[in-house]
Amino acid sequence: MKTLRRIAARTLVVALPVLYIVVSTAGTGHP
Amino acid sequence: MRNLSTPHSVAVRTASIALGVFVSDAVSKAAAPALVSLHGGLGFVLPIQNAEYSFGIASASLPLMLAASALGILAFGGYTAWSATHGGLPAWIPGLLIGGGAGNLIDRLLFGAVHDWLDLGKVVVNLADLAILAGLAGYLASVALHRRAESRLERL
Repeated sequence: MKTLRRIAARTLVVALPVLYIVVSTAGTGHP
Repeated sequence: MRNLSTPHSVAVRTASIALGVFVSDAVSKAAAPALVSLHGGLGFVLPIQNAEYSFGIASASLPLMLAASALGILAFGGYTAWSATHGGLPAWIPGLLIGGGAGNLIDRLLFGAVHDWLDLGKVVVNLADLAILAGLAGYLASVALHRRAESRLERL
C-alpha cells in the first residue's frame, strides 16, 4: 500500500507539470 | 539565523511575483506590434497569434481550452502555492507558474488566441511561456533536491 501510494505520488509529481505545460503555454513553430 | 517567512509573507511574495509576471507579459504583448516598426522588430520581435496549445500539440473548442487552462492553474498553481506556504518550495516557483498561466489564460479569454512575439529562431514564444518554463524547471529541481535529501536521511 505504501509502495502504491509512493508510485502514485511520483507519477503525479511528473504528470501534473507536463499537463500544466500543455494547457498553459502557447509557443508557436517559426512560420 | 532564524527563518522569518510566515505562510502569509510567502503568499504575499507569491502573489507579487505572479502579478509582476502577468503585467510584464501583458505589456510586452501589447508593445510587440509597435516594436516591429522599429528596425523590423530588432530581429527578435515577430507578433503572431496561436489559437491552439503549444505547437499545436492539442486543440479543442475555446471554452474547453479556457476551462482546462483555468483548472490547470487551480490544480498545479494551487498545489505549488500551498507547498510554498508550507516551506516545501520557494515563493518564486508558484509565482512564475501562476503569473505565466494567468497571462496566457487572459489572452485567450480576451482575444480567443495567445499572442506570441519573442522570436527565438525555431520557435516564437512570449514572456508567460518563459515564466512557466522557468517555474517548472525550478519545481523539478526542487523536487529532485528534496528527494536526494530524503534518501540521504533514510540511509542514516
